[in-house]
Amino acid sequence: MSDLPRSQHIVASGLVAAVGITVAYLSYTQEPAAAFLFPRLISTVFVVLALWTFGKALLGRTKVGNGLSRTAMMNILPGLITALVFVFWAAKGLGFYTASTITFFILLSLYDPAPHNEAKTWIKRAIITAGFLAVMYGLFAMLLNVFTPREIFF
Amino acid sequence: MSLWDSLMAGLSLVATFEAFFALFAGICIGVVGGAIPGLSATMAVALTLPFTFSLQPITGILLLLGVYKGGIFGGSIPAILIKTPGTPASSATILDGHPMAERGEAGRALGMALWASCTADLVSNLSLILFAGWLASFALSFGPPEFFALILFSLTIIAGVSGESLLRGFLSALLGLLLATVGLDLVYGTNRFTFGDPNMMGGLNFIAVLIGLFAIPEIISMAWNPVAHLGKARALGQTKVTFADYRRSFRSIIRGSVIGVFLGSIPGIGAAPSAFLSYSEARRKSPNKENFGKGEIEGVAASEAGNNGVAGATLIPLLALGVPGDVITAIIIGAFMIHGLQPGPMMFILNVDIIYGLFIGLIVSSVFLFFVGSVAIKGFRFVADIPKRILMPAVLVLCIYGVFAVNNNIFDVGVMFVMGWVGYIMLRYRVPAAPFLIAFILGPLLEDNFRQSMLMSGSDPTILLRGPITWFFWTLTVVTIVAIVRSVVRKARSAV
Repeated sequence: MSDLPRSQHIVASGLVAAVGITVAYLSYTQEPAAAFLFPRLISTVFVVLALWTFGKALLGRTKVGNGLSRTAMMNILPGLITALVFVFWAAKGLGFYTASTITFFILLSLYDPAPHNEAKTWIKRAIITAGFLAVMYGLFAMLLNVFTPREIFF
Repeated sequence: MSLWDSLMAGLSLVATFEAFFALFAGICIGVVGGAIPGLSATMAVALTLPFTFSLQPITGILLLLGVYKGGIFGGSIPAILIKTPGTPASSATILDGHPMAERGEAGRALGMALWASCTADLVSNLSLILFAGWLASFALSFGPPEFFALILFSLTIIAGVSGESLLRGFLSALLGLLLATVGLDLVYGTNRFTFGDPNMMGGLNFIAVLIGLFAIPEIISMAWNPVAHLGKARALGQTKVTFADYRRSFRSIIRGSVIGVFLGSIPGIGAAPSAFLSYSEARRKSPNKENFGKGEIEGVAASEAGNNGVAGATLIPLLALGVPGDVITAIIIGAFMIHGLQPGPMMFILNVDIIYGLFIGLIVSSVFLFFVGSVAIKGFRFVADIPKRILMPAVLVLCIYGVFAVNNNIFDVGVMFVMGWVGYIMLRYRVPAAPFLIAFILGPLLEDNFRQSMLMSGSDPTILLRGPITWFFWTLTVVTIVAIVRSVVRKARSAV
């Protein structure tokens, strides 16, 4: 078990308690009451347990977990941005398969430890990407006939 | 319908090229998924689920069951070859499997893992066939209060044993129950927690939640440390498993299978504890106990029998009671629901052809597993070496396609990403995700039974305590909570 900074636990459990209180508030203020009876019961128990956890965090009695470090977040961030651009813009704007190819290639290059200044590495990445696209296209477009946006390219 | 008629009806459903091919393909996908560290049987089943929509119900479910069974065995390949379990259930296989690989007997260890897995799988399937019908006929006497108490007990035990803390397990389950209430309430026609968004009126998409919760956190973890080196796979070596090896380990295999069946039929326990218990029992009873941990083939047999014995048994509560025993069966129950089927005692009356079709398919799956596994040992071992930098973007794009393909709706992909971050934070803070998913799936059922109970009694909550069956489940719930709290307190005291 690693000792996480106490603040990390206080913030995390505080957020959970805040979510619980919001849901409980919403369920108790909505009508008809009968439709919200079950959510009311569940959210009430949830709030009690969430506040208990928050209290334990305040007292420094919650020490499990690895938390979220700045280094981890910085590693994850470029991949997350690429994925979000793909989902919310590129897939519709460029077409699913084109966007997938670009996204796959960017993610592969981002997280590939091989040197970026060698032509051989880039050729290898391009071949892997082409192979991946061929499998995806064959599986989804030709075998399963899944509808996907086909805008600029395919 | 007589037993013979039921069997024939099941056979007519399952004896098609499509169904057998789905089962075979499922086992292949599962073995590959289980053999790749970073993927797992759970993720393989989750990623296969979207492909079952266009298939017949029985074909789709057999595909998923094939992935499940293949995945559990596939996990043993990297466990033996590179000392990294492909699935948590294969952790015990490392103890003797890898020392055997180190001394050039990887082929023998993998062969024994396959033989033990297939034997345990067969025992587990037979126990499912024997006990599921009996349990279902008993469960026919259950009314809404009994089902409410049963689901509550299942959620309690899953929340209690899935993680390190009962409190976190309960929070996870309650969050899943709350999320399950999102959408249009069909009784009163009221929108609940939809915030005016029409995308949320049908509730959150199960597949988006599932893939978000189980696949995305693994991808994020890979992105966090993409160059993690796993080590090169060991060569298979010249030695092969012999019938004498099998005969020597037979007692441990049967014991492990029985342990697997027993633990698998209890919701929430899962394959990993079963594998370790089977291993420790084999060591305790073996005349070669001093060799355990140093490359004893009986140890490999016991741990593999323990984890594969669970596979068929987890389907007992699923089919007979409609309660999933672990995350994978929770995904499979979702597949049933997607195809308009509701597992539970009524299924043994209304869809007896599907039940018998599944039984036949499961027996055939043990045979397929043996053949696929034999090839996998030689060919798929290289799969374990696939670098994470290729695996990560491939799985991510596959997740996006899979979720999008369900409704052709980009909103579902957004839900997947949000749930992915929720799952990742849960992973980092060691909040178990299994209770969340199982509660999300069982939530509507729990609420329906609660509402029906209230309607039956005129809103008198004491109906939830009517009769010996509800008392039994309430007692089990209380005993479970007390036992878990006691064990936590004892652990805390011994740590001081």
